[in-house]
Amino acid sequence: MEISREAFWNIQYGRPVYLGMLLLLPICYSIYRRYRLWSLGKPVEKLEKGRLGSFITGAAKILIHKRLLGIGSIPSSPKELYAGIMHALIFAGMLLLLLVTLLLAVHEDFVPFMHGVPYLIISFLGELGGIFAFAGLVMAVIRRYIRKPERLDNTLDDSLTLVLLLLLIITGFVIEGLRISATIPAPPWERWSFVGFALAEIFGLEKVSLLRWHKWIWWLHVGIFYGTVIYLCFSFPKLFHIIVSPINIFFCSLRPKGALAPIANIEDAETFGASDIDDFTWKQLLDLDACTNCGRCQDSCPAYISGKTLSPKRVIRDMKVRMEERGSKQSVKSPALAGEIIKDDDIWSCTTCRSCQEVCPVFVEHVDKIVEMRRNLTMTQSRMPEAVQLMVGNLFSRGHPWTGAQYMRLKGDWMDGLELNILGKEKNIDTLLWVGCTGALADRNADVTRSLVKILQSAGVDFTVMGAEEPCCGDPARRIGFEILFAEQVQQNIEIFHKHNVKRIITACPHCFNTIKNEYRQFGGDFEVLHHSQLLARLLRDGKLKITGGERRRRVTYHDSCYLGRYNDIYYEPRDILSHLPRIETVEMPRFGQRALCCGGGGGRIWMEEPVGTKINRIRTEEAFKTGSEVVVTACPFCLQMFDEGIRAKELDKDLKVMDLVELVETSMAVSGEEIQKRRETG
Amino acid sequence: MIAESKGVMICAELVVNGGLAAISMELLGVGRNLADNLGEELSVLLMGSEIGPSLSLEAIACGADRVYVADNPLLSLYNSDVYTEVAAKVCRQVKPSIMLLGQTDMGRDIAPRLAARIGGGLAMDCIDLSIDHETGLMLQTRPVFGGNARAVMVTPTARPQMATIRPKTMPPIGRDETRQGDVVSVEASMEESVIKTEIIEIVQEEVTGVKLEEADIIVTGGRGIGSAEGFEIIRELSQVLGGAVGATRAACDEGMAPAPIQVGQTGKIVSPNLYIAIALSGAVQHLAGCSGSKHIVAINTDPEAYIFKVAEFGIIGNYKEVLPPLIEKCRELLAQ
Amino acid sequence: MNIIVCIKQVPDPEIPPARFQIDPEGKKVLPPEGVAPVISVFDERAVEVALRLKDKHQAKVTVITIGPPAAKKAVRYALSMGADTGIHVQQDMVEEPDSFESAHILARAIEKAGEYSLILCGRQAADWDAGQVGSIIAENLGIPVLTVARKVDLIDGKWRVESVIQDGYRIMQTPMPALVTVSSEIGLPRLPTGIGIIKATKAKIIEWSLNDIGADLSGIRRSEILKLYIPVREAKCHIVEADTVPEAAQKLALRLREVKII
Repeated sequence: MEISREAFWNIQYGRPVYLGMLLLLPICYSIYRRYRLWSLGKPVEKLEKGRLGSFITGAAKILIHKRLLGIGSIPSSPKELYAGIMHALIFAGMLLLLLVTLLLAVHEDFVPFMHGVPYLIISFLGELGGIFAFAGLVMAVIRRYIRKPERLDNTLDDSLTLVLLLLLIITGFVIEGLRISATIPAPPWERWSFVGFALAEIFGLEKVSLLRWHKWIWWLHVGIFYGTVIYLCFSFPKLFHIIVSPINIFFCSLRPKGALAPIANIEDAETFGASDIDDFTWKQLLDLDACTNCGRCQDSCPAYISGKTLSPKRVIRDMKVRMEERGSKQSVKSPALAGEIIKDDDIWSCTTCRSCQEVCPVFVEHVDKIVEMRRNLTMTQSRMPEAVQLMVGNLFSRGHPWTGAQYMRLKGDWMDGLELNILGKEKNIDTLLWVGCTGALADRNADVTRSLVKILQSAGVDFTVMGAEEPCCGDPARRIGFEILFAEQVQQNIEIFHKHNVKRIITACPHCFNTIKNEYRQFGGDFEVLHHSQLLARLLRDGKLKITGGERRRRVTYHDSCYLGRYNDIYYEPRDILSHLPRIETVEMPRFGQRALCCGGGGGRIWMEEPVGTKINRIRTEEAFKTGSEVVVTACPFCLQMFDEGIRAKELDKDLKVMDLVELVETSMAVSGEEIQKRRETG
Repeated sequence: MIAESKGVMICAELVVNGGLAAISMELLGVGRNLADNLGEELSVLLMGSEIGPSLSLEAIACGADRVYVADNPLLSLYNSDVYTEVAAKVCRQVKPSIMLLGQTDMGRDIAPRLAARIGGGLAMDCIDLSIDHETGLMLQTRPVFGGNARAVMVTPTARPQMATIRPKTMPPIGRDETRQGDVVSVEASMEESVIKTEIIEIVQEEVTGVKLEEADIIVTGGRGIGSAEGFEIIRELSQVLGGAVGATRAACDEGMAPAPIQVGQTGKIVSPNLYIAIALSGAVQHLAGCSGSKHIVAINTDPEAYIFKVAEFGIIGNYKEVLPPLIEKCRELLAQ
Repeated sequence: MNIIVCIKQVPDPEIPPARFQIDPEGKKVLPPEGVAPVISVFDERAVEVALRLKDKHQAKVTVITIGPPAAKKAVRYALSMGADTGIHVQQDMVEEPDSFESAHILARAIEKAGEYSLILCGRQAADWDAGQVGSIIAENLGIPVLTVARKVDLIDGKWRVESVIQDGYRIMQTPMPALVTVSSEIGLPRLPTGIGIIKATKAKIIEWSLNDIGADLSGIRRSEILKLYIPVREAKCHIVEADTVPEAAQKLALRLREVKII
């Protein structure tokens, strides 16, 4: 007898099953219905080049479960790995089963190829598929109902989905078992269908009963499958992600990670940002449907873990609910989304650290939605915390975000005692050192600026500075949503850069770095931008920095700033630099790299009050302290201030201090004034 | 116009119970000096209701050569419209070359109106007045730019040359009972239509503790205090020393201290004998309020803080550590 | 109801005191590089008073400033707080106008601006601290003036003003139109709003020259600045030092006792 099995064995009138192809109709219809909701949003830019390529890479990332398993980033915690493996099993299992069933149909109606070895292999794969899926589903049940992680809310949808899928798998195996049982003595190749084979041993029924049971359960199985598909189409939201997530990935943003979208025609706009669903683009609304409420974003959100009410998961979910509301009754207008359904406090609690987006398995973008709402709150509704208003007022009248007499320096003060080339006076230098408002105005950060200058000069790098005339890069304005000041500032800055032929910009501040590198091109400014860590790494490699001894052995830990790490994928260079410094032992905090915990200063939050919960910077300071390090090293002026405050507040100043990367490098360099002079003379 | 103007006149102020206010004595003092310098007369304008003769005698004893008394029920309560009109009338009659008022509630209110009305030039809040020997003009020295700079002004041709003097900057002269002088009565009635403003009520505010503007000792906390609770120890020090508590604008803005005790350009201008500046850096607009202090002591963790450039004594340290022993020692010393 | 506010743009008072410099020849202040001038603090509060009245009584608020083109920034700031119209009178005389000249120019501009029920000014300009212009404008226009207000209300068609006096305040009432000078006791001025900034950035500011308003400055000036200087503080700070902080504190107390300060 040939190695195969009969399709529709024991099933009369099995052909009608093919009517199942008609299920494509409800699938398409449900997509259409959702499409109607997404089209409540505004149109988006036309498809750019590179989209197909990004889809392919995106699809590849999904297949290997890059985000869920944490491949290529720092190792996930055991809990995360459990969840990742769980999903991978279900995913792989279902995929295999689907594949096998399709192949069976192909074999039956088109190319009869499933004989012999192909049959065995496919059978075996089918078994594996079923086992994977079953194992994954059991893991899911344990996780959801016994372990009960905080980030999962258990709804009817979740339970139904699990029940349906489990029944599907179980009935599948049972059918197989019954079939094999009914054909006992079973052909030896059936051993390849090992589960069915094992089950067959259990069913010690009469052949007639076996056949009857088989038939019923076969049709039950089909029914459950169809039921699941129809459930997917009309009830979801959990299962629907199978369809929407790939669509979402196809349309994911091709902007550089760190860039927010500009407002088109801002001068003529009457309202700004998003007050309700129809102010978002349809791509942003598509995002909402891709979300499966997995809660990974919530778990990694610094605001949420420090006790604020902001939960990125809830924001997306509330927006989705609103979208459905608006979709069903077009005239429902109140309450508004921004500020009412999504509370002001939540909108302002976000530090724009992007860890939510970094861990999201379906590529939902949370940050741009929050900033859209901020744009609406600040520019249209004029609703913002007093600290933000002060900041905006200062940006408007003084051109920088640091208000008040506490910032007693003038922008040019940090230059006292240094010999520097001023932009505009030296015509031949096309590299500009962009100091940034914080590096110029705040005492502690001005020390870092001076350190950097000394290092650059000793390495023979030629650069200009703008001195007292240096304006703000605009990042604070954009992050708090006051886009109009940002647009004005950027255009002015680009004009200045072009006027003085600036080609290359070095900066010590990741926020300035991110915005000039990734966002200025939205306004026509394209420059080569380097963060100091990148430049220093290069200089080290080229031997231009003379590293001498370290004073003594020191253990340090490096804190990845969000705008350098998650925004621009610069993780390696700072660590490379540290590894070159003698007597410096680097340890990592539990949350490092892509998973680094934000210092709490981004998104304009360094200028705001933090009255609720624990202060984020203190949590991170504690984390640094627990590594046993003497120094926590950062490469960002905001992180520096946040750690400074945290260390003082927790009275750890005897045990821990915070230094910028350049300061640490400087201590290993012992750069003297004569050195600089010598370099200058020899050119 | 210049040739016709002669003499120094001061606008005296009365206190509620009818006596001459301290500012009047200071005006008499500087007025006498200027008059002697010029070799001219010093006259005093007294405005009020039911002013007894003793006041005029008092004024003469304290330096006046002549007293113009405008006694009218309309003048019983200070009203800008009425007082300005009477003063203008007298000035037009007397035509003084110099007219001085105090930089007080009344003086700073009347002076600009008066100057505009009678054609005089005016410098407000002067801390020094003298006569230039060459030109014979009155040199008016006043703080500007929040007290960061001083300007010396003159009124070349407009008459009278007017100035308001800052209280407690110019000393009165001694009383001399034997001094002689005239008393002239001035008609102070006027058309009703001149009086546009109506006084509805005068509200006295309850002040607990020593008032900032009168205090001899002020202890001020800045942003470095860090919290409203931090101000407790400031209060304790001020109590031990018998002084008042002040705060910088930054501290008030951040809610550490109430707005009424803010010292600075947009707060109170003070000139105590001792000003203890704690955890404040010495911003321009703050110094505008306290630079009139005789002695400044600064306590700050930052040795570069600007306040140390204007202070006489200082300690570089954290106020939390410095104040408790300081309070103890002061308590001990003052008990002796 | 129209309310006019006179505002002035002054060098930023928030610069570090060590950076304060003057030009003794030109008798003016040299603002440090890169520091933009700002609206005078009391004038900002005058705008606030105007806006409070606008909130309550539906008024239109117009701000007027005199100065070089840069002075428009102060006007934009006031607009961003919520004022409706901005007027800039071009004036770049070499020498700063004195109080009478400023008042004359402002009075002419106010007359050209049209009808008004109230004029508001800061009690003094944060740079020269003269404190005269408001009252002189009132005299010029022949309207009553109430100074150093901490509260301004409209009651029964009259302006009710609370003026700061030494021990409290004086409540007064005067008919329209009137001029009121505003003191910092009115409270904190509002910050520019988002919509405000947008409107201010787009707004067209009315530009007038001295000719346009019929300002004739001959014979108006009454004061001259003979000298401008920064008083030298001779006292050098004596830092009290000791081995421990408590000792230093005690030393300080003793020292103060010695020189009879306490």
